[in-house]
Amino acid sequence: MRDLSLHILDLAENSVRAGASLLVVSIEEDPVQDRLTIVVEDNGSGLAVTPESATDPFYTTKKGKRVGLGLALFKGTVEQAGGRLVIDRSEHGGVAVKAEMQLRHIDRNPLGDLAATLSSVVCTNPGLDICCRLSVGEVKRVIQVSQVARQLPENARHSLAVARRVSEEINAALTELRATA
Amino acid sequence: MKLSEITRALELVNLTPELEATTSEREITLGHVSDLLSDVLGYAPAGGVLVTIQVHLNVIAVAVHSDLAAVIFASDRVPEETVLERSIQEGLPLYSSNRSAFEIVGRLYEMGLRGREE
Ligand SMILES: Nc1ncnc2c1ncn2[C@@H]1O[C@H](COP(=O)(O)OP(=O)(O)OP(=O)(O)O)[C@@H](O)[C@H]1O
Ligand SMILES: [Mg+2]
Repeated sequence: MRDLSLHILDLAENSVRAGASLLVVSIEEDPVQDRLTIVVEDNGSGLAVTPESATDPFYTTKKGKRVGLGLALFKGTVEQAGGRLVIDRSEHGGVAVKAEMQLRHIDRNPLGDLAATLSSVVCTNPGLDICCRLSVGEVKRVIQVSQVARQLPENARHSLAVARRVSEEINAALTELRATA
Repeated sequence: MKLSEITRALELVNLTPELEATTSEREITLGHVSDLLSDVLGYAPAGGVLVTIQVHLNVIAVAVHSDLAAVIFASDRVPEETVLERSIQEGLPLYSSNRSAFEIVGRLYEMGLRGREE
């Protein structure tokens, strides 16, 4: 996965499969500590196995598949950027996947198009509540992604319009954060 | 071209001799070179050989998922023992070479192997 956002998309898919109705994506850039932290958590069924097994690329509960790559590849990406991946229980009841990387590591993948990623998750999962917390240094923004989508007039709530609106909101927050921080 | 002919011509070190009997007759006509696993997932042709410097267990899983015939680790890279064992379980033969990926791929191309076109 070239972009971290694509890993986030994989994690969101895992949460949806685990029956989650809530998805919280937090992205924290700390330029002083040179750290990038990404946390994806849900209120789904929780892990049936240990975190070690879940990150094994040959572990999957998908039928008819020999490999389960989402968590394993994310772990690889994170470790390549001098970081570590921790999988825990989330305070929301499901799984919390927490990745810490060195922000300026030469092999750290770019975040990529987070706005496009989250808007595609919203569009494909209308029943899912998605919350996105962004912070750069001390400055923070919280975007209730699903609410942004629901605030659109009913007759304009088709996926293209939702995607555009959500993207605008997230991109605006990111631009503002980077400018202020 | 048989896998055994490739390993002989390129003087590859066989990291999974346990699989020799079952895999050396594999016909190889395609190849891919990459260290980015999402690129391997997206573009490596089934039945082909992968040349890479990544030695992580994830390479094995991705190669199995993509139905690759073998993996050649370039620049003297060798995976850990546990990775070799998993690959043997999965029936995926692994080789290493002291040559760079560029040199290995050049030789494979000369022998007639081709990459995915466009
Ligand atoms: N958020 C989650 N909640 C509950 N179980 C999870 C969660 N994320 C992963 N799992 C479990 O861990 C397994 C491995 O996940 P992983 O994303 O690595 O692979 P996969 O989803 O099975 O396959 P792939 O990601 O390659 O499509 C899943 O099959 C599932 O059983
Ligand atoms: Mg997955």
